[in-house]
Amino acid sequence: MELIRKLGEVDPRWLYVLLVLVVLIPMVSPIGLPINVSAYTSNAFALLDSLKPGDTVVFDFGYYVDGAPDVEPIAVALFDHLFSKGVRIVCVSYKNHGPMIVDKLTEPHVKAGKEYGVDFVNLGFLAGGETALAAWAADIKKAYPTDWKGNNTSTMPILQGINTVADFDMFVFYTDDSAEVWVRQISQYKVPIIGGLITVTAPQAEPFLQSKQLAGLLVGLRGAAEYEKLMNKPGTASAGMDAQSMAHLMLIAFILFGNASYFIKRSKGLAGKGAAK
Amino acid sequence: MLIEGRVAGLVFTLITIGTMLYGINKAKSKLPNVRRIAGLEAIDEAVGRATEMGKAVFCTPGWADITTSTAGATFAALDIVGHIARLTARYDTRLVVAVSYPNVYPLAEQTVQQAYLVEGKREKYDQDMVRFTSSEQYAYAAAVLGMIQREKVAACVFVGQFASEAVDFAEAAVAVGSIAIAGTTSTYQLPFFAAACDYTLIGEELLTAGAYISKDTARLGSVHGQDLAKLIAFGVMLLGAILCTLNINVVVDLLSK
Amino acid sequence: MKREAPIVLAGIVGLIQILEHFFDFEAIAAVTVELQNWVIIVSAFSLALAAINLAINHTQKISAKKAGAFDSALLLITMVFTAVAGIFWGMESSGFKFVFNAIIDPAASAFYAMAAFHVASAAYRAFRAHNAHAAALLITGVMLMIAKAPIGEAWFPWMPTITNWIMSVLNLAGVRGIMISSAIGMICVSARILLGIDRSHLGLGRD
Repeated sequence: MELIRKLGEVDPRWLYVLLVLVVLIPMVSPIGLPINVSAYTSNAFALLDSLKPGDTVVFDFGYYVDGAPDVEPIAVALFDHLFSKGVRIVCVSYKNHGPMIVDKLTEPHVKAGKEYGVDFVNLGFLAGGETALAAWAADIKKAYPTDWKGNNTSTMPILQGINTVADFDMFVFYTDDSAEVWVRQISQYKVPIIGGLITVTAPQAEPFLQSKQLAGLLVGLRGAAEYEKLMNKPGTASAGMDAQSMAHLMLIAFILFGNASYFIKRSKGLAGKGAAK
Repeated sequence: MLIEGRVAGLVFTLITIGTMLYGINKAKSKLPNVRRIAGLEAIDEAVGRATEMGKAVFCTPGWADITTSTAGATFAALDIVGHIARLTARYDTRLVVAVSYPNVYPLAEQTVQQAYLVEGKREKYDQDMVRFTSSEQYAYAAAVLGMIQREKVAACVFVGQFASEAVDFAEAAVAVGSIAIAGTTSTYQLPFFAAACDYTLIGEELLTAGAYISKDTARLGSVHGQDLAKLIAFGVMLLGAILCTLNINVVVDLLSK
Repeated sequence: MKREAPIVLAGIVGLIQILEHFFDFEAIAAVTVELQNWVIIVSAFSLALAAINLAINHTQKISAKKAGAFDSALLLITMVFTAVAGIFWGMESSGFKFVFNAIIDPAASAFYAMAAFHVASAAYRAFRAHNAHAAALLITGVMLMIAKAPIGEAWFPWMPTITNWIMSVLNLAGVRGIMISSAIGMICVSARILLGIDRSHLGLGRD
C-alpha cells in the first residue's frame, strides 16, 4: 500500500530518466512487435500505388525540422515508394526549413541515380505563407521563375506541360501544423490531396477526409511504419514503434499508480476531491 | 466572378457579419448577458497573487503572425495582454511579455505602453517588459521557458495560437509554482492546456475575451451576433444531417458550391 | 485623422484581400499581389525593430553583468553569424548549412522530443479520476494510448475498433464544434477590426 502511494508521488525527473531508458532500450535492441495497418494508411497507399511511371506529384514541405521526427519518416517512405515506381516529384516548401530538408532527403536518391530537374526538383521556399501557396498553385512558373539552386524553371524537363496545380497527378503535403491551409488553397484544383501529418493534428484533419476535401491521410511515426510495412521495406519508423509501445506502457502504468495513490490518500482523508492538479 | 467552391463561404461570411452588426445595434438598447468565463476571471486573481508574492506576471500572445488565418486569436490575445498590463500597472507588479513574431511585436509594445499610460503610470513602463524572442518555434519556446525559470514568475498567461510548445509552457509554469492560465483556438493543443493548466479558455472563449474584459457595448453586442451565427450554422448542420440520412444531398451540394 | 487613418487603411486593405479570396477578378488579384509584397516589406521593418529590441535587451544584460550574461553573448554572436552567413554567403553556403544542420536541426529536434517528457509528467500529475468527467478523460486517454501502440493492439485486438469510434464520432463532434465556433469568432474579430469597431490593438478604444 505504502509503495503504491509512493509511486504516485514520484518526482517527475525520475519519470524522465525512466522514459529515456524505456525509449532507448528497444531502439538498441528491437523487439519486433507486429504492426497492424490502419484504413487511413492503406487507402493512402492504394492511391499512391496507383500512380504510373512518368506521373508527376507535388511534395509540399510544410514542417520545421523540430517536427521532423514525427512527420519526416512519412516523406522518406514516400520518396522511396514513388521513385521506385518512376514517378517524378516536384518539391516545394511552405516553410523555410523545407529546401534544406528536401536536399537532405533526396541526397541518397541522387546517389542512386535519380537526375535533378528530370526525376525531381527542389523549387525552394516562397515567403508569404498561405498567400504564396495560392500564388504558385495558380501559376507555378511565374511564382518560381528559378528553383532553389537558381536554375530556370521554364526550360526544366520535369516542369514541361505543367502550369498550375491542376496539371499534377497528385498533391502530397507534410506538415507539423493544421491541414486547413491546403484544403483552402488546393482543393479547388480537383487534384487528389494526401496529407502527411504529425500525430496530434490528425483529429483536426479528419473532417476534411470525411468531406473528401482530402483524399488520404498518413499520420505520424505510426503512419510511416504502416506505410513501410505495406512497401515491405521496414525502416526507421518501424524501429521507432517498439520504443513508442514501451513508452505508452510506462506512462499508463504511472497514470494508474498516480490514481491508486490518489484514492489511497482520499480514503485516508489526505486528498481533496478536486486535488487533481 | 465568384470562385467555384467558395460561394457558400462568402454567403456564410456575410450572414455572420450581418448577425454581428445586428447584435451590436441591439446592444445599444439592451446589453446581452455573457456567461461567466472562469479563465478570464482568474486573470485578476493571478495578478493579485503575483502582487502579494512580490513576483512577476508572465504572458505571451502565442506563436502566430497577424498575417495568417489565425490572426483573430492573436488580436484577442493582445486584448488580454492589454488587460493584464493595466492590472500590473495598477498594482505596480512586474510584467514580462514574450512575443514570437516581428509583426506582433510593435502591437504588443503599443498595447502595454498604452495600458500604463491609461493607468497613469507612464514612468513605470520599461522597454524590457515586452521582449521579442524569435519566430522560430523552439527558439521562442526556449526563450519563454528561460524567462519563466529565471524570473520565477507567480502567474503565467498563455493566450493565442500555440503548437507543440504548449505542454512545455504549462509544465514550466507548474515547475516554478506559478498559476497557469491558457487559451487557444488550436484544437490539437487544447487537451494539453486543459490537462496541465489551472484554467483554460477553449476556442471562442478566447475570442470573446476582449468583449468580456472591456464590457464595451459594441463588442458585447458582437458576441451576441456571433451566437446568432452559431445558431444558424447549427440549424444548417441539423437540416443537412436529417436530409443526408434521407439520402437527400441538397444541403451538401449547396455547401460545396 | 491620426487615429482614423490606420483604421481606414486596414479596412480597405482587408476588403481587397477578402474580395480576392472569393472573386476571380484580375485587377483585384494584381492589387492583392502588390499588397502582399508590401506585407513582406513591412514585415522586414518589423523584424528590424524586433531584432533591435532583442539586441538592446541582451546588450543591457551583458553590460549589467546580470545572471545569464554569457547566454546573452552567445545569442548575439550566433544571431550576427547566422545573419551574415545567410545575407552575404547565401543560404546554399557551407556556413549557413552548418548553422542549420549542426545547430538548428539537432537543437530543435531535441526540443520537440522534450514535449514527450512534459506530456508524461503532465499526464502523470493531472490524470486523476477525481470526478466523473476526469474519469472519462482518463479512461479514453488510456484506451487510446493502448490502441495506438502496436503492443496494445497485440494484447487487445478489439481495442482499435472502440478507439476508432471514439476518435471519429465523439472526438470529431467536439473538434467540429470548436472549429466552427472558433471560425465564426474569428470572422467576427476580424470584421470588428476591419470595420474599426475594435481598435484596442492600436491602443485606442479604451477608457
